[in-house]
Amino acid sequence: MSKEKESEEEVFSPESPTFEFLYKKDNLIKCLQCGRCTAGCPAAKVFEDYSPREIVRRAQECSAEELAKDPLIWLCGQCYTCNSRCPRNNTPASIILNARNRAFKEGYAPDEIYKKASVLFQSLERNGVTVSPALFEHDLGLLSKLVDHNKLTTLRAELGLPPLNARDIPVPPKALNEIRTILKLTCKGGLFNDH
Amino acid sequence: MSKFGVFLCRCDGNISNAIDIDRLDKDFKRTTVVDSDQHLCSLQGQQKIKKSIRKHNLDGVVVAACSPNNHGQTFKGCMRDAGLNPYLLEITNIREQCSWVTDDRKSATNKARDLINASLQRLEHAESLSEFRVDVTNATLVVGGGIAGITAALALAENGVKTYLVEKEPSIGGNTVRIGKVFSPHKMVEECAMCSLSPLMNDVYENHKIELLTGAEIANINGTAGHFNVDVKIKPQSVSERCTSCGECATVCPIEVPDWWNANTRTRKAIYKPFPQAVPDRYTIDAEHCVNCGKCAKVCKSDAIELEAKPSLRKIEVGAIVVATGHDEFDPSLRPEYGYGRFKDVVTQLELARIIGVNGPTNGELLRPSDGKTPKRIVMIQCVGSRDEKPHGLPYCSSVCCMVALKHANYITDYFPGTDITVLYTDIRAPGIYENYYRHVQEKGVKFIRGRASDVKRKGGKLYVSAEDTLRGQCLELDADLVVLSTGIKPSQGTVHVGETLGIELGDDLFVKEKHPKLEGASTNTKGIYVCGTAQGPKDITYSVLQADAAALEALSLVGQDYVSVEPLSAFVKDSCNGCGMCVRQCKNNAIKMVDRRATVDPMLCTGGGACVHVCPTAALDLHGCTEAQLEASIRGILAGKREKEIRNIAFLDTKIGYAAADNIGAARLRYPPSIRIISVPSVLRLAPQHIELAFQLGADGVFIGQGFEAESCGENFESVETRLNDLSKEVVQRGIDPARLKIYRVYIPHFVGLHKRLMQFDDKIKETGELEKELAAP
Repeated sequence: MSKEKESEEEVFSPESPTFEFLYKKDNLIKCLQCGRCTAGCPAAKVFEDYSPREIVRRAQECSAEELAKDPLIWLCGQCYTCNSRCPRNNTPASIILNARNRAFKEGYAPDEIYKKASVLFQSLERNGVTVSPALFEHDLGLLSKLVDHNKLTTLRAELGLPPLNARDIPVPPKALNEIRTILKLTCKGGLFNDH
Repeated sequence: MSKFGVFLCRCDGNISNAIDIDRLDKDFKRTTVVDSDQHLCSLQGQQKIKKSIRKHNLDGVVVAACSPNNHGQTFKGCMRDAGLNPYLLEITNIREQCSWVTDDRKSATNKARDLINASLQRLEHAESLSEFRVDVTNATLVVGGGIAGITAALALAENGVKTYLVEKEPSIGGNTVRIGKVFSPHKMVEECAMCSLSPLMNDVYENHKIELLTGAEIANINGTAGHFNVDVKIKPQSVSERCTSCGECATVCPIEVPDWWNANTRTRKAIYKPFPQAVPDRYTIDAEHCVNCGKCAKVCKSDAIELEAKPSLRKIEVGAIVVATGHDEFDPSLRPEYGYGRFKDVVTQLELARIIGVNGPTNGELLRPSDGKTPKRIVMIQCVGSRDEKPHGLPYCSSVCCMVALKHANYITDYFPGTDITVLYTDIRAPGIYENYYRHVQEKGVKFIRGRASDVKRKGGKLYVSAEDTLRGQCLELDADLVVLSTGIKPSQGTVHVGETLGIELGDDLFVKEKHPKLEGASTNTKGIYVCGTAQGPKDITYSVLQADAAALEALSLVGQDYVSVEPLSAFVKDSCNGCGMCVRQCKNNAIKMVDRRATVDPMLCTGGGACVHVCPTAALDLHGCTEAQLEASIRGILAGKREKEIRNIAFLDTKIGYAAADNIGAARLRYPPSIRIISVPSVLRLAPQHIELAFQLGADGVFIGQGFEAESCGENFESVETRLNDLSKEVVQRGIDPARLKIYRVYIPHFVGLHKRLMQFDDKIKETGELEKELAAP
């Protein structure tokens, strides 16, 4: 097995230790179902059928495969408030991240996710940055209500900041090269080719 | 020629399944008196030993059975009954350290034979010893004057025992004074805590057998069960007994500070009386805040104020001690998401108790702190700090907070009808008849939502509590006029302080650890020191009082005796002492003194670790129970009969921790090869380079030294023990031993698996290295 192949598997196999550090199985079993995670979860306030507490219960009861197929895992905003609240030191957000990685690899993720990931990947390869607001302007959905660009510009002016968006500053060529090399090594075989 | 008897226990298969007892019986019959039994510890088994001692007129006995930690005292009793000195007994541990850890029957039988032979060799050097008698001081000390301490002190005094009650605050009463109401599961109404407590406090004051020391703390202790010398540090007593409690002094005092007795819901002066029913009934000066302006002294008509009073030290002698140092409330500002400290209307249950207490800041009116209005909607949050594994959290259930919430909810719905109360709970824990209370409060319309609250926010001047109704799967934002946090119970600072000062074992949570969770729930791991109330763990008043009576009974049964026996396992001085004083400097327990230019050991102060033995240049010191001759015989015996190419590794373990951990390895049925042979030493400091050297000369291939983490080592702390062990290993290496053949390890009883792992690793390594070529000539 070549070195490159190895590194690819390490990063993208859902069973790989790379993701195991994200949550401890012992803690998962000790969940009290007290609901502190859900009570503090911003996503649970927006999406009625989403609850990190339910995700933990499902993680206890169903297979990793089933959890990865659950469309609800895509509603988490990865803010980790659930982790800061849990009295038993669980991290529903990490359980979800793990399930997402599996889903992505196995092809259960919604088409939209592959599309967005592809945009991110290309942006990273081209510009060295994953996200810039321009990428999602056409598709902000709920976020568009929250982010008011005009307001942001005014706010920057009020604070005496230049109108320049930090993301508009290009990544230096040397760093960009390094990023491209990393992508080449870690995403060999094409991350998105299957879908 | 001495005549010894060997008694083999089968332990109902526990031993005989792994060890061929019949074979051993036959082997030893050739040379000594032998007998065996299914259960040597049974009355019948003991009878066998006693009969045999008398019949054969034995000079010494080897009992090959379970660990001496199990039935050591039983077999010593047999010796006494049969007229033999109990110190002429050797117990060979062929269960925990042989049959339970060895896989193959032949190896186990061989190892058992070697171990018994080693015991027989050691027995040759055994000495008759007589136990010391310590006269019991018929007095007791109770530390902490809360409901538990008061109960224990009264129980002791009413049985005629002189009792000192030490309390750090200016009045006794403790947390019970502050909680206002107590729940009564039979009547479903709240009773006045002070109405139950005040008469008891007065009894304490009036009982002439009780000496009450307030503003006092334990500073130092020494001695043993039956006779302790305790130093009590007493704060300056600036207000004398002439005080008439008129209160003039407090009206002129210019200093205002938060009032602990009112859970800081109001202030008090620097000269104050904690609460109207305080015992002793007098004012007191808080030296920390007093500015010495002297105004109080000027107005005092009884001339009771002495501003220049100094702290004092009181030395007391007692036979037994009861620890009743109580608990503190979990600090809710450690959970900032609940807004305690940021929002005035977020209070703890204790603060609510003061608010609704008739002697509290609002004279019993339910008024919230921010604007003095009556709250219409109250939300109570359970498990604040309890069942919480986050930093500073209390992983256990504090066990009373559910009942406290129910109590307050019931009281408020009775006295302030129309108040809407919601309790956000994780699980309601209302065991036994307390369930009646829960049902009663439910019937009265208090709402219970299963979900632990996430946070408290303020929006538009109103408080909102976020929680999930987990039974419905619905997120809630409950608006509240007052939020009450049911904070957990943690060990008080006093409990931790007293635990350290008295040297009693605390558990992981820093509560005082009881000796046995079921059978000896009021005893600590130190003989003569007992525990009760919340110092031992979270519990309600009912259980605190019950445990206080149990602790008092234990203390009574000790101080009721004329004397207690103490094992004579101390150092002793031989004639060759030249009075150089090296041992005096070595002994950290101050047990060795120079009398007439000769070292003299106080056997009561000596803890029997034996660190002094080999500092003596004239070999004039030795240790009863583990003399040079006995230790050497053990090493010799355990290595005797070593076959060619056989590997043998000696593990020296200290009796209290290391040896007990090795027993736990057996109890857990972990396996290790028979090449590992354990020798128990009172402390690893007993070991000198020549012992290690001797072991290698006699054929040991490796030496493992395991020192218990908290084992008593001649008063030395762990760091200095470690330094001395390093010196020891350096010296051994200088004498030509390969350092890889010596391993020093720190043992921790609960982590016996760690000891097992290290023993296995060490044994593997030595086997890899191979048999030690005897470069050193045998003596």
